[in-house]
Amino acid sequence: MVTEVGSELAIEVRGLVKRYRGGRGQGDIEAVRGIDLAVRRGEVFGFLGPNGAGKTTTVRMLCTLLPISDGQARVAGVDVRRDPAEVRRHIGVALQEVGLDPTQTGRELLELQCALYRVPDPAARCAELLALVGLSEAANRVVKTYSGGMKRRLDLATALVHEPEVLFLDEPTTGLDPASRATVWEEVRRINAAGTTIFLTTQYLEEADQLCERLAIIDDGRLVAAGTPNSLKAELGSDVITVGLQPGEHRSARDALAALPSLDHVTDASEGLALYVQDGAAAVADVVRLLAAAGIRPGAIALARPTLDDVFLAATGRRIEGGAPEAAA
Amino acid sequence: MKETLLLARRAVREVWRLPAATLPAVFIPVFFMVVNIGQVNRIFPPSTPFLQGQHYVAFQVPVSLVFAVSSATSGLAMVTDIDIGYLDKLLAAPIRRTAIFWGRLAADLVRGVTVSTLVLIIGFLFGARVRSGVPGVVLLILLSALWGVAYAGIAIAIALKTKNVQTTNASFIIFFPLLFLTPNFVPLDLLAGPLRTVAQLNPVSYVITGLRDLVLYPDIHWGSLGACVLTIALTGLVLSMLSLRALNRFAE
Repeated sequence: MVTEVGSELAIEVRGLVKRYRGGRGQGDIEAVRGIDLAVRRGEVFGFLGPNGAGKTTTVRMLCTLLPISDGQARVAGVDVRRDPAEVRRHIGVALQEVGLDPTQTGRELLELQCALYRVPDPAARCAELLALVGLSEAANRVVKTYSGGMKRRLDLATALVHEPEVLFLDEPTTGLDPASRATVWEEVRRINAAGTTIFLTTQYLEEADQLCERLAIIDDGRLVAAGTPNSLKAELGSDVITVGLQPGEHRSARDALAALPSLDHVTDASEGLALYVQDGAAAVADVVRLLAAAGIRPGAIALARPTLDDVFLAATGRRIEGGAPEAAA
Repeated sequence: MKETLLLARRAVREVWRLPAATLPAVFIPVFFMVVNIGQVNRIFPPSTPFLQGQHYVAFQVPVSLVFAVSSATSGLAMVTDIDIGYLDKLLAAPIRRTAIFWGRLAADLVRGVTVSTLVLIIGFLFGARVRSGVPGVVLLILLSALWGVAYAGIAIAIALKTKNVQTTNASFIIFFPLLFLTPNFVPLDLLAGPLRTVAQLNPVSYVITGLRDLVLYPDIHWGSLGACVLTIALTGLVLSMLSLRALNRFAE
């Protein structure tokens, strides 16, 4: 699902495949199954999917940490397979595991990172970054004394020492409390405002909704949807009515609700059905009437605007595990 | 080169801030040395021909030196870097990947010099003397440390291959047969037939003998010293190649 083609792309991926050798007597396992992506320079691009969907594998291939089995990838205009060393000069990486040596101080780690990236004035850049992520006061403490949020912010700072063109953030807020999550979101917006393209993987729908201009949804190694959050939700229709049902009632309820005038489509929800309709408020009464006529007494009925979870549900028939994080920003 | 030094500095800081990872490397060999001396001091008095007039402790010091520096510490540090994701950060940086390995080894050199100096001082306290004088002392410390650097490759390769802390830690066990199937208690010519053959094939024998000759004799024995240096160089070459190969294949 290519969303855009052209030279103003920070990331361009075609037919990307990651294949692992299976065990004895087993075939190869494809973790990523031929995905296409096009990320514009300067945007925050979300890569949304449940655990094990292939998000991290994709990021690791694009960051040169994992060999590409098949397909093409260009990051910052450089071919990842042909010139991985050059790609590394243009990217910053903050992976899911905060890659910080707990025995070093925050300042030591940042200074080392600056030196490895040959930053001209490491001391000044360190001071600037420490201030940016609010760690100036904790800079001389060893990292093992930092909280989870502080570690995440320092990790983010280490990815920024050389002002990368493209920043890869792999689930940057997983495991963080709501306040730390909000701080990271703020940092992401600030970094992006300075011109850095951000490729962000997440399993949190709210995070993708809040931060990303465009996103792609991956499931089981394949892209299942791509677009802006609003366009993806708009494709589903204007409203979602979820209807609680007893086990065994799904089929008869579907048959009964087929007569609903404004019905766009129906999918199975965890304990009932999700109905995508044009005018939800007007349709609720019809839903109750049609179900009653079929002898079905619905449980809870809820009316909502479509969420990205509904987009995922519509594309895959399942909801994203983990769901939305607690409210953060 | 600059990248290697930067990463070495970080690894040395790590060694300094985690003394609990290094101190057992001194304690265990010194413990063995003390127990061995206590058991056989009377069987092998200074008049024993192969002791060259010294106490048995002088014969044991080189064994303790080799024991002290042959650790899995660097491998454990590497597997920790893998575990916490720091190795990924280094691999994603625009540096030569070999610098990650050489940086670790540079820290091993510093650790090796520190540990062997401590063991040598303890040997002195128990009555050992280095007959070849100051040059001998310098060579003992330097060659012991270099052996530690050469041997570090085995644990690093295992760490990169298995990515598992327990397996890397268990790699320390490999050294026990290497250490004990040597002329560690008595000279090679006093070993029983099959054991002598095994000891002759064991590279660690040549390291211990080379170091031991520096302790026992006033003149430098170039033959044993040359064999010791050659063994260290070849071991370092082979294990470094294995480690670098494992590092290159790490991501696959």
